Amino acid sequence: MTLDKKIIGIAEEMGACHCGFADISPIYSKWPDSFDECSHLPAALTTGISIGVLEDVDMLMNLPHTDNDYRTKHYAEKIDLALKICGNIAALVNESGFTAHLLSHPPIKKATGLYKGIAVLAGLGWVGKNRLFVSPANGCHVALGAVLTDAPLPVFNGRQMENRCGNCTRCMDICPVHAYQTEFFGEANGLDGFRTDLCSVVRGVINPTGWGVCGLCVKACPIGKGRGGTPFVKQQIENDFVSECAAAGDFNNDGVTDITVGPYWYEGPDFIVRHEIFAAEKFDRHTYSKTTQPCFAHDFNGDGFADVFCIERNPGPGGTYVFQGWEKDADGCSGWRGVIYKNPAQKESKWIRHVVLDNIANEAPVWGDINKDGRPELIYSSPEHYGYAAYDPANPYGAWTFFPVSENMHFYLASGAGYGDITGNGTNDLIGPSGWWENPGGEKYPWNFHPQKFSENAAQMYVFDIDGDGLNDILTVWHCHGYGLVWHKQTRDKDGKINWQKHEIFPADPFEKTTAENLSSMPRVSQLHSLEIADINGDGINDIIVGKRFWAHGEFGDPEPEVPAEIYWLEIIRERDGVRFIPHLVDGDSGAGTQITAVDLNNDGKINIFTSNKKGVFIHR
Amino acid sequence: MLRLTGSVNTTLAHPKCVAVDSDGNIFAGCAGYNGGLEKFTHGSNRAYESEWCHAIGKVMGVALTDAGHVFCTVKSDRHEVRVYKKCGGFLYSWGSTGAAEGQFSTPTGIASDGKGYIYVAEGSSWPAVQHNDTWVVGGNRLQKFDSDGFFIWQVSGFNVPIGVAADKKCRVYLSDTYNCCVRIFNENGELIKSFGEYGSSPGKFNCPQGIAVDRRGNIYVADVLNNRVQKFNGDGLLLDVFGNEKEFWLPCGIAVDESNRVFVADTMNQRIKIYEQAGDAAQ
Repeated sequence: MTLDKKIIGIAEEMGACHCGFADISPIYSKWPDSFDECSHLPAALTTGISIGVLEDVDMLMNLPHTDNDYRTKHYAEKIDLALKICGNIAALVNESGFTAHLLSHPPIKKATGLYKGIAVLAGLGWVGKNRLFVSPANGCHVALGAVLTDAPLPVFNGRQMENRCGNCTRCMDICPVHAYQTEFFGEANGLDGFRTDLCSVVRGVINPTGWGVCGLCVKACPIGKGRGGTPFVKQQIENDFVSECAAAGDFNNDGVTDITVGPYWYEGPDFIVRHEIFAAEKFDRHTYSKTTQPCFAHDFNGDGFADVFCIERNPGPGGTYVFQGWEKDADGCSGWRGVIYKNPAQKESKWIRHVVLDNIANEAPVWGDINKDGRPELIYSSPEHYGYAAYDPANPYGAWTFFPVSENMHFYLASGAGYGDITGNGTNDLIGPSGWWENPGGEKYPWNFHPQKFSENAAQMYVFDIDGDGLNDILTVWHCHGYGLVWHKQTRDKDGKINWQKHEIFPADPFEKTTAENLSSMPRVSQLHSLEIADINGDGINDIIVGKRFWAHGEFGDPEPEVPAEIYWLEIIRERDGVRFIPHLVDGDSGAGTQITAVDLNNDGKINIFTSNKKGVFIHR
Repeated sequence: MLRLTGSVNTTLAHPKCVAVDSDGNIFAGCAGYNGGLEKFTHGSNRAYESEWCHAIGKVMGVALTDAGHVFCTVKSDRHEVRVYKKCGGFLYSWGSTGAAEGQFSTPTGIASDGKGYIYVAEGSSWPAVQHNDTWVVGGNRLQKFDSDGFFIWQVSGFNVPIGVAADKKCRVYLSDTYNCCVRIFNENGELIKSFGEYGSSPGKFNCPQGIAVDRRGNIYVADVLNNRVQKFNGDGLLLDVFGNEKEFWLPCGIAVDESNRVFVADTMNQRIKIYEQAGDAAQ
């Protein structure tokens, strides 16, 4: 095992919430006096190992004000843990023949900035306006530790995480003693514009020994609000790239939900025992997998054992799944095929492959009972028409029937599909990135098209009442290979005509296009290629789950392929005069593929999140 | 029991103080980085609308007098009290930065009593506030003035007192924020009562700031870090607790109108929430 893996192993085992490696040369050159402590060391130690330990926010916020010893009761406990982890790491580095220096606590002058600077250079977060290190997962609730070394470690070489404070000034505005004199978008090492003497007044008041914080600037930070770190625990069940789809069903008819990523299914509720559905491959991250598009689980023959519906494509030259354009393949198929793998129902036979659809020509087809016959259909676009395909219950493994909802669009290629009752007449309409098709009822096709730009390039699209006004709205990503998450509010004029108002949730502009006016405090995440809704917090309102499709088009294909692969859930809060969205990071190092499945996998009443992508297969419990 | 009946989004970034007049007009102040004072009035459809908003620096407290004037404590180039007409027109100001009687170092809450006297609390500024190249030490006190700013008395010895209220009988109520308690004084500045201590259980406080008193002498305290409002009778007996982390996000300011409606500055959520008290309307 390499040294970096061993270090990460120690950090994780001892309870660190982050561990990263940074080239700290920029700190040496900018703030040489930060390294007074290291002046006796034999050589410049240009690599920093950053360790973070999650603070217990509830405890932090409920410390006694009159007799507490904040340091000993909590902060020191977490700092001590960070130091212990760093000590063990330093010992390991020394045993490996390299120099390691453990940064001390309490920090030397300016060394507080040193801890933050190393964490920032390691790509783990940014320094907020409250001058605290902010991680997207845990907000400012991280106690930092650091080791300096000359060991050859894989330092973070991507772009540092952008400051996501945006135009938010909550931490500054809440301060009772006005310690924040100026805004701050400066360097990690600085406390420019922050009156430590005023802040220390509060400290002194809370605890005459000189330590203690009132915590208002921490609690005012919307990053990590209400949780002090993600409540999700990550389980990685594959380390290899096997698929980008994820579905749940009962594949062994034991009443427990299992999961599938296409070539494999995993037995619930532990998901440790793995079974092969078809010949599995480990794919190169620079290419694609056989099941790049979503898959679905459904018991087509009613035997109690769920089958698996996959959207597959023939491999290209050399057997790899590189993008081949949309020319017909040797079998005459333009695009993907819809394939059912019939569950052998625990008999000795294999899963039998049945090709039921050809010419699936858009990304992110969706699965749902659009015609309300009690059976699921596949909603997608053929090269000519947007529509849906249904199976014959008497012959579910035979060819499905396609119903062309749109006019012939002469190769309608798009990413994104969805359905729902927009008009409120009880029938499901169809939506796509460029508009929606009104269901006239009965067997009449095509449906009337209402053009409306819902998205530039969508993934899954959802129709539901987001703001609670009784009208169904539309949720979609703005560009699944760019940026943005938006919702379109449905409004009606006095004649009942349907209109739409677009509202941005995650910013749609890349960072380079931001100005002082359009800075957003919401995360700016690229490649949001999968979207799901589920009631995460149990308030009866569907929330949003969205994730970055890690390396969607490989190493260089899309914006910011190197930044952390994040997955978020967004809490929808309906208010008297609108709706707002609170983002909560589920995980910062997994992301999603082309499909997110959010269901209760272990019947504990809580929604679990399941993804598969080029980093592996993940369950967030 | 209190029932939410309205919510007003503010233009101000994060409203920390609020006052309400007998016509139901709301005056909110923001002490934040981009501070200001804003008035809301009922629009044609009875919904609140912003009538004016002045960018006058960090507004720490706001109070209304029976004479129809709006008093606010401001920290900008100087620390002072500014007086406006309800229509937004500036009238006059008094006070300056300093530690002497009648001066201010970080003025916080402000209140007016039944006789038109003005009470100003001052947060801590230790070790010093720099003003014109001099360092001024002061704060942690409560001062009483007449409406023209003539100093009457002061009481000191608090830990960042932020909220102040006064009733028609000229009793003064002070939230001693970092001592986590409420102190009540008579019109001569003599301590009558003190109650509360640090904690999260009902009746205790964690960083109490805004304070208000209704016409029956009940006291309302914005218990900021507990994300709630607590209601006490004049003797400090707990009557009601409402709010939680879902309802409020660091609520700093509070006011009560003559109908006993409660206005809470839900600071981090950038809104004023309005509550009615079941059964109080006829009393």
